[in-house]
Amino acid sequence: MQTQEIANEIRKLSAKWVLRSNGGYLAQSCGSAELLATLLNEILNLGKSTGPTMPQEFIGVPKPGNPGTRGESWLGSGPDLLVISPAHYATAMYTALVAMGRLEEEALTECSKDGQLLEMIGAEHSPGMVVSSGSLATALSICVGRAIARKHLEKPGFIWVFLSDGELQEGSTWEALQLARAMNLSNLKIVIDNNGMQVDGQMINVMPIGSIEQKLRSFGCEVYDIQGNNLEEVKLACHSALQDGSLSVILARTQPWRGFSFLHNRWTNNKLHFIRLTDDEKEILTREVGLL
Amino acid sequence: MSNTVDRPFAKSLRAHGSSNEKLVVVTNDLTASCEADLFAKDFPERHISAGMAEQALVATLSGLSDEGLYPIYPSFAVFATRRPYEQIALTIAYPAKKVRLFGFLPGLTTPGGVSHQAIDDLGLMTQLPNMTVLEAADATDMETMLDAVADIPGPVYVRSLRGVVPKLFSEALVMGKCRDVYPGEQVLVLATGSMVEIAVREIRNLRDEFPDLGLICVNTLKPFDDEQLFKRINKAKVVITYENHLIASGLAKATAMYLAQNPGPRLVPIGISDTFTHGGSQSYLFDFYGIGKDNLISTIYRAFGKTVPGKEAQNNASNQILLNKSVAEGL
Repeated sequence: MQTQEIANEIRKLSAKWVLRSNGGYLAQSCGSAELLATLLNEILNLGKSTGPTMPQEFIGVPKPGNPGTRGESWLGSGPDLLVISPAHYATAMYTALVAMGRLEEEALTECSKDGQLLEMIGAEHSPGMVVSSGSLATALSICVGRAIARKHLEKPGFIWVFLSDGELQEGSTWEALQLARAMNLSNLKIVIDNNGMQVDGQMINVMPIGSIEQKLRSFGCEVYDIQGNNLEEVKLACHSALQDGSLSVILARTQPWRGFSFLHNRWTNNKLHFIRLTDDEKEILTREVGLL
Repeated sequence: MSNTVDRPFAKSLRAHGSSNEKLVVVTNDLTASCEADLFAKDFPERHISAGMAEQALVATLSGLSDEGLYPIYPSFAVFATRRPYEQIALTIAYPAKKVRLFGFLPGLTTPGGVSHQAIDDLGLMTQLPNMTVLEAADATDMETMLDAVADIPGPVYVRSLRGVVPKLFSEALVMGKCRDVYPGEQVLVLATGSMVEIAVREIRNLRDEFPDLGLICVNTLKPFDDEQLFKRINKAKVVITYENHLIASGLAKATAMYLAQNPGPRLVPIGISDTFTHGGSQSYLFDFYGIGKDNLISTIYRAFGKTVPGKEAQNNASNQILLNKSVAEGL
């Protein structure tokens, strides 16, 4: 599948998920579709998935000596790794895996029930998810640790971390960047979904954080400020980031309402984070999914 | 008995905002999700949107209190306790600030998985010196909680319920006093929070068979010093604690500490048993982790030296489904 087709599938399958369960994280998928599709399909050397296309049942939370199912398996054995930090993007990841043939489409229905792995807020056992980071701004530090370890152990491969801009409000994000820069990590690449939204509404109203670009630069990051729904810009930035000898961040401006007409109203009305469809919205979405 | 109230805390918080001009509400991007939206709309100058920055937020509460304001921080229980724990300990609990922390989505009432499930919040808060800890069990508790804790000079943590909340009680909550639900001495069930609704329903059904089966709703976890509660515990042969929390650090632990010093009945704890948890629907998770009604019923039968008859009564499931629907909003 071409990268744009994968992006379209992410939107379409995520919309079907929300229609089916009448609730879900649709805007996250719609805004990040091109980013995830490009990273997974063109940029990272993921290797073959070692997870079944119809995932097994949930067996248990991690215990000492028994980590349980690892969502990482579906990403492959590398050498590159993509880590989603905001676990609310799990639907986007699951649908991307379907578009890439790493999951059956039926897994989205059959394996998202109670006792199955495809949880609404992803966890470390959910396909494509690496860490349980539904409490935001924890994954970046874990990835800094992994990147330091890889450097120390002379392991190849890049660790890509997918962040949301809301996570930049948490101090721990900046603590992580500080360490990443101090350790001069060139094997860590960061992509930020700069969609400007959070639960209460638009970030500029809830908690404005000023110029992200300037902040990142002052932390010593190489910054690529791009339109995140433009495939060419995303590709170019990713390839450039791979050439950098320093910590790079792709600041991808995205439109979380992209793909379905009613989403922009929700952006305006501060109700875009979690979507429980009204009857009207259901009709619109059903019609527009058919047109994709 | 099983009627419900929609967003009881939202209205109560707005009313207190109206009567107390020192009351300020600080939120971490969960304003409507934690029912502070009505307050924020009416008193925008006293609503501080602090963004997703819980550690700084909590220390800010301490400063607001220093200058004579009455700060309230409603959030999900994990973000009200676990994430900013150090700041709570040193800037709120140690200097004994008059600050109120409200933690919603207790235990396994959220489908959101380990990051959203507060299974340890009561433990974290009760172990802090100077902290008072309560848990709401119904809509009346949420409506009257701010009154009940108004005069406590130090910090208070309230484990809270949001959305469509069952109304079980008509009398206002009283700090430090348990709610006597059913008399009965031989086997006494102590229930907290979201478990109380289940306990009330199931025990009502079992009282014909076991007239000597009692039920108490415990609201105040710390201080755990209610003489009326102790009298009832002392008379029992078996005490069953029933909580939506790790048994190691919640109601069972508090009860065990009392019984260790006042030996008497046998303690049988029902709660989450030294494990982290995963996501799913409430009824599924309650059964998976052994806190659903089936385990309560079989534990009661065993406490009376009997085994559960082949089939259990299935009743009033619709109310539970309604509550499940309400919890997913705004995760």
